[in-house]
Amino acid sequence: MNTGQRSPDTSQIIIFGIGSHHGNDQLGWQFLSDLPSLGLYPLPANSQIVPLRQPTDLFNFAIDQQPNQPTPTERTSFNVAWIFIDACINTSAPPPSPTPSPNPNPNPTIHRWQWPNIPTTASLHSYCSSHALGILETLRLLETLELLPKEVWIYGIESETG
Amino acid sequence: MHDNPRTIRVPILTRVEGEGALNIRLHEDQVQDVQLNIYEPPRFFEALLKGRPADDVPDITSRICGICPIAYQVTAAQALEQCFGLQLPNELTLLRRLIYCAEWIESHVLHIHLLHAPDFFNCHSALDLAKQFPNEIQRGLKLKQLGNRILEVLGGRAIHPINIAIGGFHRLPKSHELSDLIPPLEQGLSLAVDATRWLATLPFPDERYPYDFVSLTHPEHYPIESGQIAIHSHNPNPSLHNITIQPPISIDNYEYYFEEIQVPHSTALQSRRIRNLSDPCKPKTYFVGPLARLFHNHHRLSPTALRLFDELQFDPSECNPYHSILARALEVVFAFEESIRILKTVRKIDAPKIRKITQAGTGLNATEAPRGLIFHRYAIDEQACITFAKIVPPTSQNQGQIESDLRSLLHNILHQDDQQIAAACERLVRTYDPCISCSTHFLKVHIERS
Repeated sequence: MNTGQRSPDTSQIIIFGIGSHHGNDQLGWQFLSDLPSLGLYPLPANSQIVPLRQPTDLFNFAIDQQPNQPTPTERTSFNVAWIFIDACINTSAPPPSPTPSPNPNPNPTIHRWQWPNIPTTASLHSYCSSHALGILETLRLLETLELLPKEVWIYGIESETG
Repeated sequence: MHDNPRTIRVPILTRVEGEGALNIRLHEDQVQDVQLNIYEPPRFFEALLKGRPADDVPDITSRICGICPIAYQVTAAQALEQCFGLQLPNELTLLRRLIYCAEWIESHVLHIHLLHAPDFFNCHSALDLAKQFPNEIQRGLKLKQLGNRILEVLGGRAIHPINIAIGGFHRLPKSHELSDLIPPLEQGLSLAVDATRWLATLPFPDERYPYDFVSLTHPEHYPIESGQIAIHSHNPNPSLHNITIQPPISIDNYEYYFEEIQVPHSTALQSRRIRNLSDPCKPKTYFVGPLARLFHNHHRLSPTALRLFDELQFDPSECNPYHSILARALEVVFAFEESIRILKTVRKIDAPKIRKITQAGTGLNATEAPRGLIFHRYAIDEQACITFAKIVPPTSQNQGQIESDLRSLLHNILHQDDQQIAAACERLVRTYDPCISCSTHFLKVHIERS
C-alpha cells in the first residue's frame, strides 16, 4: 500500500551480500562488514545493507518491502537500486589439477552485470542451490511478480582459491 | 506401439530436492524394471555422529536437510532426551510443536507453489506458472515468509535453525516476540484457506493405488512431534472392503515392523514393511506423508482445517497420490491455526531447558517430518558420547512405493511416446516431494525399450 509519505524523488540503494560463515562463500557477508573500511560509508540516506544466506531469502525481503514498493506509475520517478555481491567461480577455468594447488585461479576477476542483461557466458546458473533456485531464477520470478526495482546490479567476485 | 528397440534419456528430474535418476526398462508391452536410482553420494551421517557428544547431535543431524532441519533436530533431541530420562514440561513441548508447525508451513508452501503446482498447468517451472497466476504465487511467497518468521523467532534463523537443544531450547524468545507473531499468522491462516480453495480446483489425474498408509496417530491431537504408529492397508481388489491390519503400534517397535535394505541401484537405503499380518513372509512397500497423516488423523485437524476438509469433500482413502498437494495445503491451514493456538496458550516459561545428568543410555523417537514419518535411535556412553546412531528419513521409506507406483502408471501409458512417459513419471515422483539429499543419506529418466 502506498502510504503517501514518499517524495517522488526518493532514491534508495539496497546492497545484498549473499554468503555464509564458510570458506570463499563468506565473501558476500565479508563485503558488507568491510564497507566502512572500504571508504564507502556513509551510504546515501535510505540505503540498506542486507545479508542473505541464499538467493531465495530475497523472497522474504521483497514481500516485506511490498507495502513500500512504488506503484507502477511511480516507478519512473522512484529510484531504487538493488546491488548483489556474491562469490563466484570461474567456469571457464581449466579443470582442477590432480595435484592440489593453493592458487588454482591466478587471475581472479570481478564481474558486474546489470539486470536483465546477463550474458549467457556468465553462467550464473552454475551457482544454483540444490533446490534449483539461484540468483537468476529468483530475480526472474520476482520480475514476473513485479517485485523488482528499476535497477538491479550483480557483482560476481572470483577468488584466487577457486 | 514401438516395434523397434529404443532407449530414451531424460537428462534430469527437476523440481525435486537432490539428484537421482529413474531407469525404466520396457520389453515389448511389458514393464520389465523400474529403478529409482539415487546416485547422490552417501553422506554417512550416522557414522559421523559416533564418538561425538550427544549435545552436538541435533545441530549435526539438522544439516542433513535445508528444508526440514527441525524434523531432524526435534527427533534427535527427543530420542536423546529418552537416553537421559528427561521429560519436558508442557510449555517447552508446545514450543517444540510450534517450531515444527513453522517447518511444515515453510516446506509445504515451497513445494506446493514452486515445485508441484506447475505440473497441473503444463508449466515448465514456477516462473511459467507465475506468469499465469502472479497473485497466487505471491500469496505462496507470503505464506512461506510467515513460516520463516516463526523459525527466526524461535529457531534463531530460518535456514538451519540453531536453537533446539536436548532438554528444550538454548534460549527462549521474549514473550512479546511470540505474541507479535499472532496478527500476521491470523492473516496467514486466511491466505492459506484461499490457497487451499484454489488448489482444490486443480485438474487431478484419476490414478489410485492400494497404499499401505503409515503415519503417527495421537489420541488427542493431529500428530507432529509425538504419537503411535498407525498402519492401514488398502486392498488391491477394489471390490473388497479396506482392511485395517493392526491397531497402532508403539514407536518402540518401529524396527520390528520396518526394516531398511540396500539395493544395488541406489546409494540410499530403502525401507519396507515386514511381519505384516496379511502375508508375514512378504515384505511390502508403504506410503508415508501428508496423505497418510490425513487418512489416519483428519478428524483431529484444527477447526478451520477440518471445516475446509469437509467443504472440499476431500477423501484420502481414494489413495490418489496427486491429491498430496491438497493434503499439504490442508496441513498448512492446520499449521497456521495450531501455531496461533499455541501462541495464545503458552505461558511464561522459567527456564529454556531442563538439566540433564550425564549417563549412559539408549533412546529412540519418531515424529512427522513434512514428507512423512522420521525415525531416530541412539545409544550413548557414560561420557554422553554417541556409540550408535540410526536415522530413517521419510524419502527412504517412500522409495519402494514410488517404484511400485511407477510400475502401475507405466502399464497405463505405454502407448505414449517416451517423452510423454518420462514427463508423466516425473510428475508422479514429484507428488511425493522426495528429498533425495535426506535419503542419501533425483532425477534423470532413462527408458530402455526392447
